[in-house]
Amino acid sequence: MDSSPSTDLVARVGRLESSIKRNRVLALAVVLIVFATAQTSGPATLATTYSSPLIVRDASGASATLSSTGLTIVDAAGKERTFVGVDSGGRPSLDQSDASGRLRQSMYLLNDTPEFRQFDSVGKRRLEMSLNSANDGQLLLSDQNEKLRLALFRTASGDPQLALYGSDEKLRADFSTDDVSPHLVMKDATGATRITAGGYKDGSIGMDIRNAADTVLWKAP
Amino acid sequence: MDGLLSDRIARLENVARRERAIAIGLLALLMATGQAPAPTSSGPVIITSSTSSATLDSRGLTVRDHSRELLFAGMDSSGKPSLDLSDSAGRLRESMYLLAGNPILRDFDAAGKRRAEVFLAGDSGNGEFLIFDAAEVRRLALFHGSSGLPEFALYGSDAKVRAYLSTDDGMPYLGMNDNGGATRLVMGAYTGGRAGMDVRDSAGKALWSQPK
Repeated sequence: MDSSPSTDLVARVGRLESSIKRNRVLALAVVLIVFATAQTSGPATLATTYSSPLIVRDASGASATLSSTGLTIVDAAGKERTFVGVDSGGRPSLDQSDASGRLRQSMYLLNDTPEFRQFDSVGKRRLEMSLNSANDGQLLLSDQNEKLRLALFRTASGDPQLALYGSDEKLRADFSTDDVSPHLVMKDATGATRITAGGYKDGSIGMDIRNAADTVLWKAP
Repeated sequence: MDGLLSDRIARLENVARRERAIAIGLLALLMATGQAPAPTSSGPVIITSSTSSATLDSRGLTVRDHSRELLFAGMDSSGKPSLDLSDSAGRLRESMYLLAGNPILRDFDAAGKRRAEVFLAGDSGNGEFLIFDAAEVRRLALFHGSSGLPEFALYGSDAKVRAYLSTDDGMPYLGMNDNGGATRLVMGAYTGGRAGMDVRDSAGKALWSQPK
C-alpha cells in the first residue's frame, strides 16, 4: 500500500478541487433562485406589501385572514362566518354565515346592481331588497318554497305598488297609485278581479264588487 | 512535484477566497430583498394615520376615528357575525348581523332607538320589514303572519294594529280597526268565497254592508 506524503497530498487536493466544483454549481443555483424570486421592498412609509395572506389568529383557533380579495373571518370551529371583499364571482360582497357555515345574509353587487338578501336556515331566499333592472327599488318577501308572497316595487309605468301573492305566486291584491288617484284591487285564486276601490282607468273614482264571473254585484257611486 | 502541488494549492486558496466573497454578497442580497413567509400573528395588526386607525384582529376589522369606533366587520363580542356602522359621535346607526343565527339589518336613530329593520323570524324563517317611531313603537310592518300569510299592517302609537291588508290563497282582505281594537271596516273575502265589504260600529254591529 502506497502511503507516501505526496500521494496523500495529491488525493486531498483532488477532493478539494471536486468540492469547489460542487460548491460553484450550488452557488450558481442559489444566484438563479434569488434573481427568480427576489422582490424589492415597498416604500415602507406608504404601504406594507404582502405577497401572501395576512392571518391573525387567537388562542381559540378563530382567525381573520386578509387576502388580496378581502377579509375572511373564521370561527373557532373552523366555519367561515364573515367575508368582506370581492367574491369568487368578482362581485363586491359582504356575506354572513351561521354557526353551521350556511350563508344567511348577503349584500353584494349582482351584475353591478345592488342586492341585499336574507336566507333561511335551509338556504332558501326569503327576503330581498334590491334595485331592479330599471334601477327602481324593491322589497320582496318569499315563503319557505321561495315563492314570492309580498312585494313593494314600482310598476313598469313607474307607479309605486304594494302587492300580495298566493302560494301559487299569483297576484291577489295590489295597492298602488298613479298621478291621478290610488286604487286597491283584490283578485281571487283564478285571477278574476272581485273588488276594486279607488281610481278607475277612465279617471272616475269609486268602488265595485264582482262575482267570479265578473258580474258587478254592487257599485258606487 | 512539490512545486506543482504548491501551485495547485495556491489556486485553490484563491478560489476559496473568491467564493467566500460571493457567498457574503449573496447573503447581503437575500437580506435586502428577501420576503417574509406568510405572516401569521397572534396579536392585532394596527394601521394608523393622523386621522384614523384600522385594527385587524382574530375577530375582524375595526376602523376608528380617534377614539370612536366607526366601522366593525367580523364577529362581535358575543360571537355574532356583524357589520356595524357608527356615526361621528360613535353611536351605532346601522348594524347587519346574525341574531341567534338569524339575519337582521337594523337602523338606529341618533338617540339609539331602533327605527327600521328587515329580518327573518327565528321560528319560521319568514321575512319581515318594520318601521318604528321615536319611542321604538312599531308603526308599519310587512311580514308573513302566524299562518304564513303575507300581510301589510299599520299601527297606532299604542302599537295596536289599525289597518291590515292580507291574503290567503282564496282572496285578500282589508280590515280597519278603531283604537279600541274593534274592527270598523272590512273589505274583501268573506267565508264561503264571497266578496264584499261592511262598515260596523264600535260594538261590532254592521251598519252597512254590500252586496246585500
